[in-house]
Amino acid sequence: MPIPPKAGPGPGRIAVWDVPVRIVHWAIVGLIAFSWYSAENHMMDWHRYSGFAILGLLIFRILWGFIGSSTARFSAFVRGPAEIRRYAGTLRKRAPGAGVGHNPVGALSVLALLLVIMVQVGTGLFAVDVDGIESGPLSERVSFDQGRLLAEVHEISFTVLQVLVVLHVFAILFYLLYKRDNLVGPMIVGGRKTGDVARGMTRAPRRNFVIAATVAAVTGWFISQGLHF
Amino acid sequence: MLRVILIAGAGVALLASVGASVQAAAPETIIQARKAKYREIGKAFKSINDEVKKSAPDRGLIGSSASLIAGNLRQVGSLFPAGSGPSSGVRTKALPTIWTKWPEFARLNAAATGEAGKLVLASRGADVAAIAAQARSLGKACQACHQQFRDED
Repeated sequence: MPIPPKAGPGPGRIAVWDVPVRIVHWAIVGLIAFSWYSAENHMMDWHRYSGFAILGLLIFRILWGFIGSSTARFSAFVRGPAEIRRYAGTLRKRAPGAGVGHNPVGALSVLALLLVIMVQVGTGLFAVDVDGIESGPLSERVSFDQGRLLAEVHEISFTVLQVLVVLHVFAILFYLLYKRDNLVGPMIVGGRKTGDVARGMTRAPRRNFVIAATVAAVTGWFISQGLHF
Repeated sequence: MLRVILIAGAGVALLASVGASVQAAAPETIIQARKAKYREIGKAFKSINDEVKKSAPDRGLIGSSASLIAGNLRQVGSLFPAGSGPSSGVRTKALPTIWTKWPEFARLNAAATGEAGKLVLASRGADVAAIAAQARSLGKACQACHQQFRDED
């Protein structure tokens, strides 16, 4: 039984993104900016805290991709090559998209961003600085040389992440200016005008949120503490 | 008499060989050897920090690592001969200010050496919190010098 959409819709409006998806999105935006700032300014304690927070959000978002609201689920937006090609063919049409949630090409961007942020957090957990002074919470499980190598991967993958973020912003500008489709609004308020879509997002039950948030918080905490039981 | 001549001769030969080796050491060799010494410090410091994170740290390992660091830091004066900076054309993060502000560089080096020595002493006691605090002090002493005299990426 579909649960009627609540987030954001009024008369003539439909829900697109639920509250957890929006919070995770903007929190990660802020935390990645802060991680960059703190690393540049040698605030390594803050850099670690920021990374732990991103780790928790990442675990939550992946779980939410299986038990979250309809538009958060991987099964709803990850599409095969044929579907991606078909959608890419319609990109030049100057009209807002018909679907609700990620389109098949946008899904690639979501997956790429999630993957690179995973690499970023994963390497950071084991990374060691050149002086052997600052390190991630799991670094005692690797040698100095391995930790240095992972720190280098951490740096390279951040450059890749920066490129992906720029691409992401350009895609949003393209939709806004060329296709007259404001993608930022729904990511803030959760809903958008109906357009030609009748049905909005199907919201996940609260219980699923409690499960995903608890698992993410507990797992993230144990990893940040160096997985000592 | 013969003995004196022999000893003097050996002395001269030794001096000559030292002179030759100094002359022969290309900046690349010097810089590589320097990097190797600092790598040892980084490795040793990682093992100290790995131990400090544990609930029951291996104090013997902390002590031996700290004395390795102190030993390498004592050699720093000779690891930075004039001409072994970036002007040599070899890739190095050693800033030219090391040689223009040598007394300050030497002071920071001595301070870090002192902190490493204190860590050796702290590792002989059972106070794990004091060991951890001293490891942090050593880290700060290292970074104080790096901030001023090491090029960032």
